[in-house]
Amino acid sequence: MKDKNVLLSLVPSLAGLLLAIGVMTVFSACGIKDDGTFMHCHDAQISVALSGGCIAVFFALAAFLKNRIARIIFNVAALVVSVRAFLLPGILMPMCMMRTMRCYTVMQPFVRIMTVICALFALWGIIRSLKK
Amino acid sequence: MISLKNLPFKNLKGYAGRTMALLLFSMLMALAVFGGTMVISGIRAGLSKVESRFGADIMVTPEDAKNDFDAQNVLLKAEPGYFYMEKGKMDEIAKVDGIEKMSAQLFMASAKAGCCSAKVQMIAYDPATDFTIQPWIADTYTDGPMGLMDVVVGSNVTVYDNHIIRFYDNDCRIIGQFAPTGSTLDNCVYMNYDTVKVLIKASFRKGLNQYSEYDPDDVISAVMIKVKPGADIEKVAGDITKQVDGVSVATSKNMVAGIGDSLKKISGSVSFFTVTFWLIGTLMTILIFAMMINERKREFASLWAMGASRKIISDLVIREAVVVNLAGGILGIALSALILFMFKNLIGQVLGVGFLLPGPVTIILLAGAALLSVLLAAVISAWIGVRKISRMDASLVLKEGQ
Repeated sequence: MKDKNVLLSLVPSLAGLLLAIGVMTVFSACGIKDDGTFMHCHDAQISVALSGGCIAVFFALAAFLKNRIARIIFNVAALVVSVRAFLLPGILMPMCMMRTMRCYTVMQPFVRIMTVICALFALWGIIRSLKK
Repeated sequence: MISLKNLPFKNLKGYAGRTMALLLFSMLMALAVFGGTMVISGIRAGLSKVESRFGADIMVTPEDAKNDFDAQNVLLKAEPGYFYMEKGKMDEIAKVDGIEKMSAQLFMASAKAGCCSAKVQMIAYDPATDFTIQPWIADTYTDGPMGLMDVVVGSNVTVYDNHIIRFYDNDCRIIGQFAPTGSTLDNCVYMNYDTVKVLIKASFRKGLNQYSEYDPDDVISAVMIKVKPGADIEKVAGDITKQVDGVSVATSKNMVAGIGDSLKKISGSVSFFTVTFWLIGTLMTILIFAMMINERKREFASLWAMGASRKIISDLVIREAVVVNLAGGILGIALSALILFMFKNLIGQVLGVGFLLPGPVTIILLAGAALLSVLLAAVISAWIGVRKISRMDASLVLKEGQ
């Protein structure tokens, strides 16, 4: 594979990494409560970060593997994890009490945009692999 | 095969750098025009929703509640709070002329613990006299009057699967949720007097209420007043201030004035940026087209020499401009809509005003207007380019460099 193609194939992996890093930094959930304990949304934040990491690994494996079936499997895995990560904050996992809180105003929209992008990359990867 | 029909697309593809630059500027123009007009419409929508939801002409609160109640800001950024006055004030207010309806409300705020460190404003109303909350409850809950420990929540309060919200170790059943208003009313929990009294007593037991000397049966927090048709709201408010001691009076006009002022300030700034972005985008498009015409003058002269009329060449340039600006415009509107829809709550918080996304018809109209403004820029740029072509002497151009 040419260097340019490898770099292009790693763009989806970068999106997964961006999701994992973003959700732990700039687009993080709510802070710690006054009593030092974590809020409800903290678990959703950690789960999304882990999902982002998994997506990045799956896309990276799909980019480097030459076996077509393996590439399809990793792209499907990335698609499934992306859809699950989309549903994590607020649907699969509870978030905080008020929709004015950071987990709803910052983290949830960021997660939704990034997971949709990851899912589209996964679909594109599946279609590309099926065509070859 | 190259035909006049697909020539604009082939040109756009052939000059990828230039096409990308045009796409970027048209996208920015559409983003600014659509985003800007949506923000202004959103604030207007929030203002009109709050006006209609508030329901009362006058709100009377205890005079010593000034620290907890700022009439100008209460609908925009009030922190959950509570304050009380004697129930007898109702009888004194009732003696003032010009009042058609009045109803007392009792406020309470949840403690910042137990759940997610968010304080929630609780508002209790008297079902027998209320005219500000019950008409809206009917939109969300129609199964008779609210029972003990039943609550209706504002749109910003999360409703969990079990439909239970817990205050001071008491479970309340969520029976409905109001539509958003873009104001602090969205952060409130509404209940009847019996429910709030249970919660106030629970807060006394936990030592989390600063007014533990009061009996919840003998106090109220605010009186909502509707004046008689034709009565002067300001006069009635003035009379209440004169005739009733120890109260503070706010009219609905005062209370939405804060939102109105913010609307004016933000509309001014947003309009300025929108127009500036559009002008910069148009100027850049004109510049790129002027450079493009200069760069391709031999191509146009060749087409002319091959028998293409000036009209055909003009159409070619206009179609190129329209296609690229249309694509950029659609992309810009889509990106702007994505940001506005996903981050609407954050945008409202950053602007510090009530922000509600306008209805679908308004959104479609604004998107159409934004697209037209981008196409107008394309037509202006192409028209300037076409004028330059029409002044060209094809034979001289073709002889150049020979």
